[in-house]
Amino acid sequence: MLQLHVWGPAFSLPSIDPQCLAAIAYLSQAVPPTQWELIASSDPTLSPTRVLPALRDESIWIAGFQNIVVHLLETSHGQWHLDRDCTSQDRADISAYTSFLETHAQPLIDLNLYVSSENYHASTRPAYSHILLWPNTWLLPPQRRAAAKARTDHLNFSSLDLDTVDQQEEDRLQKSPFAAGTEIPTRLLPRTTASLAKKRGQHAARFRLDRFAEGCLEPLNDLLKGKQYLLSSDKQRMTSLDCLALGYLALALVPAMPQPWLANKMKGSYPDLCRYVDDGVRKCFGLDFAVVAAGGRHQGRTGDDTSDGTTTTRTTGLPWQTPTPDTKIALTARLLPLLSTLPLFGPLYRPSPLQPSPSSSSASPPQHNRIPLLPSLTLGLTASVAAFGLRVLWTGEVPSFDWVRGTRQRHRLVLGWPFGAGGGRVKRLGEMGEAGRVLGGVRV
Amino acid sequence: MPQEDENKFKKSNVPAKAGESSWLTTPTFIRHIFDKFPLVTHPLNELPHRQPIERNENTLYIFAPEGDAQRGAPSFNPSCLKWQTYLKLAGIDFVTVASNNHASPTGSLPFVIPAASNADATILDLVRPIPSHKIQEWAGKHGATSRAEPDRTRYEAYLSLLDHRIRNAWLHTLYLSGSNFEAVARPLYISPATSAPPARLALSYSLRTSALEELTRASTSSVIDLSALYRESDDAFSALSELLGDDDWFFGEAEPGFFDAAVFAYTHLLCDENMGWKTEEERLGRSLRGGKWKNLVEHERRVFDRCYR
Repeated sequence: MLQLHVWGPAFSLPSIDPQCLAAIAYLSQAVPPTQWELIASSDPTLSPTRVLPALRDESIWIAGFQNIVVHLLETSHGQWHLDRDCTSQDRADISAYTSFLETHAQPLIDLNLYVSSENYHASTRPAYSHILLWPNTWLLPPQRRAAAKARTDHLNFSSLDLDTVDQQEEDRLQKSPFAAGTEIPTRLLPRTTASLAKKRGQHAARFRLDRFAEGCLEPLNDLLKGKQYLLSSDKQRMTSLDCLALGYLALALVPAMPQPWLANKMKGSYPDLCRYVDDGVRKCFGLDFAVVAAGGRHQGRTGDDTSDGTTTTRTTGLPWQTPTPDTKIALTARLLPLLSTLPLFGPLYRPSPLQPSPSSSSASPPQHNRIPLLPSLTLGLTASVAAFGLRVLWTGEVPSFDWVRGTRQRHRLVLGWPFGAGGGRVKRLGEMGEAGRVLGGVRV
Repeated sequence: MPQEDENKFKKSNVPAKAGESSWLTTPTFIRHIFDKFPLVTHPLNELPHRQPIERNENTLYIFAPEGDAQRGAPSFNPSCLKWQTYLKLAGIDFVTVASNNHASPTGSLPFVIPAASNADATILDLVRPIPSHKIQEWAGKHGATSRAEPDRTRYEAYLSLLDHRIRNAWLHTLYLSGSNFEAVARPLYISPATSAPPARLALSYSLRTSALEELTRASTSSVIDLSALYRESDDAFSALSELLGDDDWFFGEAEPGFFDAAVFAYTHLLCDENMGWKTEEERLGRSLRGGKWKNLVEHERRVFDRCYR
């Protein structure tokens, strides 16, 4: 039995991630439903390359859409391969457009879901909190947003991200206390002008965004040109390229966003592509679904998710399975990556990003390449300092060594642990004037 | 001298004592001191000898050994080679000059300094340098036989194979696989730049980290899957080979264009024996040299014969 682990459902789609959507679409078309399970685990640490979708085939983990396609081709001897009937010309097109989608459509999704601060805070972030477990609700969305920003940094659309625009604006105001061209200090100007300027920046970016979206959607629209699928008009011949395109385009079209520039662009200029996405969503994901996500919370559009959080409601034909309940070990395993977010020692703990052939690693959780020597030293050091501090507070004495006389001395701590060796402390508190007497009185 | 200064001092103090101006005005004796500056005015420096005084030729600044650049031999950097080849194919006259990233206004090579419009122009009549992403536009305006890029459905998609799939594998092959970095990148990029060992160390470190950064940024994962990286680059070459088919030039054109130059930039460097690839670790060009895609190698020969023979 194959298990497909994906990011959980959101925006009435079975996953929040384009590659996961593509993998779900691929398996739904290539593999018989009895042969695979779909699990919304939303935990990238499961996979050897720390990326979802990840396919578990007995003891082997395969991560990433392309790797999954290749694995299914190799293990099923072509039986579970959607591209088996393609000509060599089609195969070349599949390679080229796959690369094109990954490099041109991914930034669009990044901008739409993550970089645009309005969309992120109002839609994406809440969607994640439905599918993630503590502490990942606090860790993963900002991480994924930071990665999306890094990927789109060179495109210069930072004006979409009002959070950083706020910061830049503040920096500028701090540098020059006067508003441009006036004698009026900016702090006396009405606050709205700054935010209006930001909004204006966002609207100016809209024009460039449209151009950028055209750069991605136009070639796809040209390729589709009224056909049923990107490469063929035959209803039976969906290819891996169609699955990938569906993953990206569905996530561009379907989610309702406060800033719906991408969906509007698609609806306004590319009705063919919208029709293509609608058909694909219906064919691969079904119309409605309800699923128990990793958090045990329901996500879906149907009214029949009446289950108590332990059973799975199947209304789509997608073979949803409930993720295995969290054990303490699993929780610890999830907390472990927290180490890598520590400011100083994180980089030392972080594993090397280069992996020779991680696509087929064993089922054990991924091993980190370096022994976290320094973090453990730090932990030990912190623990001993804390223990020392506790002892001092408990006994109220600071042990020290008098170097001149060569004797050990104990300095009495005036304000100490409120419960411990009591009497003497209360007396001393009483010596500390009014406030001390009040504190001392509490103790007595 | 001291006598004179003292006199000045006395004189300068007079107005202040009279209370006509405040203490804010500069005392005259200080003004006299500053009047003496500058003490010496040196003549203008001569321009460096290697700086071309003749500005009536277009100049392309590329990565290349000094001698090779003067002969107009192909660059060893794929991005430079692409533009060098494209300009040659477009029939634009230019000379190449060996340079490095520090010389470029954008921080990366290549860039073009166009010929001055009139013969009497000096270097001080600054001509705006053209960065690589604007070369095509510039060539379109100045090229004798300029070619508009084909507005084809598949053009963008296949270009992304070169710019991402093959480029990513190239980054890993050249900079991140240990033996090739020592054998190929070090003699080409680091040794000519500086002879100081600490500077070489720092330079090689920064080269490798920026290559790794570019690779991780491009991927959606924080881990780079090397088997997938090379499988995808092989797929990319297969797709390009399929696209070329039995034609002489890509997209069935009668004359080679930008796409041909872009493919040639990689195929030439991977096939070039002078690069000194360590074959056991060089997975990117192995199949290409092994004759898996014969038409790509023949295409490389055709472009080479046309531009560099």
